[in-house]
Amino acid sequence: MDDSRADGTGEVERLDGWVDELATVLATPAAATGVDAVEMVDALAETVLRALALDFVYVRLDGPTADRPLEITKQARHRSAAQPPSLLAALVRRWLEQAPESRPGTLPGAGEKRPLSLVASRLGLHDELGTLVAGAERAEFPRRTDRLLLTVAANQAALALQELRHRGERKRLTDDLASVRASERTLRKIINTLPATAWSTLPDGYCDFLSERWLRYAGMSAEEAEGWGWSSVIHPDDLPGLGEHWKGCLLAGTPVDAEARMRRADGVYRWFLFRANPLRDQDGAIVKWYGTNIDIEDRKRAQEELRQSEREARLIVDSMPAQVAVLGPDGDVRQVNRRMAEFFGLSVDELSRWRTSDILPEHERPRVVAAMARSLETGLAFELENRLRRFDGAYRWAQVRGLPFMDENGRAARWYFLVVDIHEKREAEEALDRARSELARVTRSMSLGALTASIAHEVNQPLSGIITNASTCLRLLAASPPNVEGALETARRTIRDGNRAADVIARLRAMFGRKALAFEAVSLNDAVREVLSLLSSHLERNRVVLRAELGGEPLLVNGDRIQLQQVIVNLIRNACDAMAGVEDRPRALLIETGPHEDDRARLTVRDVGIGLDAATKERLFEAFYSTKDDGMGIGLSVSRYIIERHRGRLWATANEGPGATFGFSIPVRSDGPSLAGP
Amino acid sequence: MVDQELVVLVDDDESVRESVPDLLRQWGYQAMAFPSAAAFLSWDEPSRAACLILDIAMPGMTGVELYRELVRRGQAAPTIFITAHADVTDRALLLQEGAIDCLFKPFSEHDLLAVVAAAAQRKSRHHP
Repeated sequence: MDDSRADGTGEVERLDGWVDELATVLATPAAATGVDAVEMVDALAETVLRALALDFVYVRLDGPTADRPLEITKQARHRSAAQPPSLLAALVRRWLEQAPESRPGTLPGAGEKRPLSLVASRLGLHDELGTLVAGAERAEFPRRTDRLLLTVAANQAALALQELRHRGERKRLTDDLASVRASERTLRKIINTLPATAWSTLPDGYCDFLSERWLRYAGMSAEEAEGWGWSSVIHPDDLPGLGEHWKGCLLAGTPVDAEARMRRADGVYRWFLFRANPLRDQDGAIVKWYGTNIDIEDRKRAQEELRQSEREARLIVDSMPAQVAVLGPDGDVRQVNRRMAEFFGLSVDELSRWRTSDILPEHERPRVVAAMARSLETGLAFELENRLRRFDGAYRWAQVRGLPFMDENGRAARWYFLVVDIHEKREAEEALDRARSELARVTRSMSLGALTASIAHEVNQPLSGIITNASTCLRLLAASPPNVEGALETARRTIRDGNRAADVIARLRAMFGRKALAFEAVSLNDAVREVLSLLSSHLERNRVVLRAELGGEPLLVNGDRIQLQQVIVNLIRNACDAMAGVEDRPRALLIETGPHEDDRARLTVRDVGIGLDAATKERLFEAFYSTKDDGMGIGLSVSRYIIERHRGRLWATANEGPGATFGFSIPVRSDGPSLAGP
Repeated sequence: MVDQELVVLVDDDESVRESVPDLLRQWGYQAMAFPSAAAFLSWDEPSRAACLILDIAMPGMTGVELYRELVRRGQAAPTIFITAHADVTDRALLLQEGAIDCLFKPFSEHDLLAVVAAAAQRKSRHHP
């Protein structure tokens, strides 16, 4: 700045020029939106440097104007080689940190350059935009005018920066809005293609959006459905409930979860699931509700059909003339039908204690538990006949069928029980059995009596002749003189009658004696199984707990199948009879088969009945000997006869504990078929 | 024995029909035998019999039925029943109906002669 221009006029002109220049620089951002803050500040620094004839200008931009603090350093051309701008910037930074307002700053000179006097001006109302530092070697710097102009420049720069910042923010907002609108368009497209109907409402429930799918379903326009128009398609019966629920949710801000029927465009109502959630702002206030309606008509119909089918099944089960129960894997009762509930007159909980309660007579419980255990092993149903206590205390006979239902791990998941009252049938059967065995006994006695009479008659006739002829013979010989001729005749008749008696005996033997045996290969084990299946109901009725341990499969013997089975039946029946009076322990019957002494097959029948004493054992196999009141004593002697004809042996032993064991052994079948009878 | 008494036997068993009359003759009785009730009823001198020996079990009319028929006709001589069916014969009933006795086959010579003698005695008492 030269002295000629130090007068007032020059100063004014200089200031005018400077202001024009400054206005040009600062107007730039207003005109061109593309100009950024850095360019603008760069131009400002250049203008200030030149207009105020400074030697150094430093501008730092802070905060939102720039992404990070930005430093611009400008030097007068004559200084540019003296100190690098980065060094100067560092020096200025340090000075600024030391509160430049309190003491004016100087930067030391370098080489032949004089030190720089510095003045700092803050940018922005709250200094938030940055700092402008001006430096000059002039001795009078800063003059008042310098300070004034720097303040003006700083204020104008702040205004321009502020404007730039607002412009940037507006642009960002505009860009954001465009992006939001694009997203919204995409979202709407998605919503309208979803297989559900979607909608949104304002916080007060006013519906402001319904997806196209919803509108198409209801056959309504968006305008018709908006607000509360949508409610016109809700079934009149469901509307009050849905409305109440919706209002409650709006008030409480809780999610909507309701079902209601919605009318389709063609007038058909279908069930829908209504679900909605509130959208909240940062303060937790609800700004919007978003919801969906899902068509659940098919599910609902399936549920209804299932319910109907369950009702029908229940009806069927309840109207069955039998008792039905469902038990858990541990035997706890889960469900019973009406008939069972009425029979026992007990709750499900009380029924669950069946193992210890008197529903079952105490001595019958182990049998049921054992049958269930066997069923679990085999996975097959079991069937028992036992007594059950009715509500009035009377025990009634029932047929109990239990079927375990296994899960995929082979464990019982459920038990299904079917109980049929067979009390009358059972009593009738027992009466019939009694009558039948009485009849059998009478028939046996009668046929034996008739047989005896027939034998007696056949033998007595010739005996009579023999005795009478012999008497006559004696008389004729004793006569004087002896009538030898007559005596010879009567002696001949005597011989004839004797032969006749022998013939009778021979005929009887032919009739009742040796009958040819039908020998064939017989599996003793199969023979036993057949007998057991024939006798199963007999055993069941006699409450006999049977255990069969059949070994040496197939245990082939050479024999008459029917006769061997007669022996087996006889031994089992005898065992049952021997246990008929046993009440204090299970009536256990054990049947065992297996190889015996290298070349024989053995069968034993072990009971826990009345047992054998020594005297009984002695006479056991005699014909017509019986320990039973109603027995004829033929069974065991016949059995022994049959076994002996199989070249076998039949025996009986008293058990260590209660009861007796009867058994036989017969030769096993050798390789070749043997037809040799006894 | 001047007046030999006639004992008539009715039995389907040939051996009895041969042996019993022979034995009775040894004891001085006259004896005749018929193989069936029908054969006896067709004989025209039934009143000659001092004693009847009737087998109970015969094909056709039984001995008991024959006895009842003779009683009905008033021609029944003192009668002895014989049978091989001891177990099914109600001896007491036969005695009650007027029989002298009932012998079970085989019977001894002594038993037979004792009842025949008793029968003959009763005949002579009733018909001197």
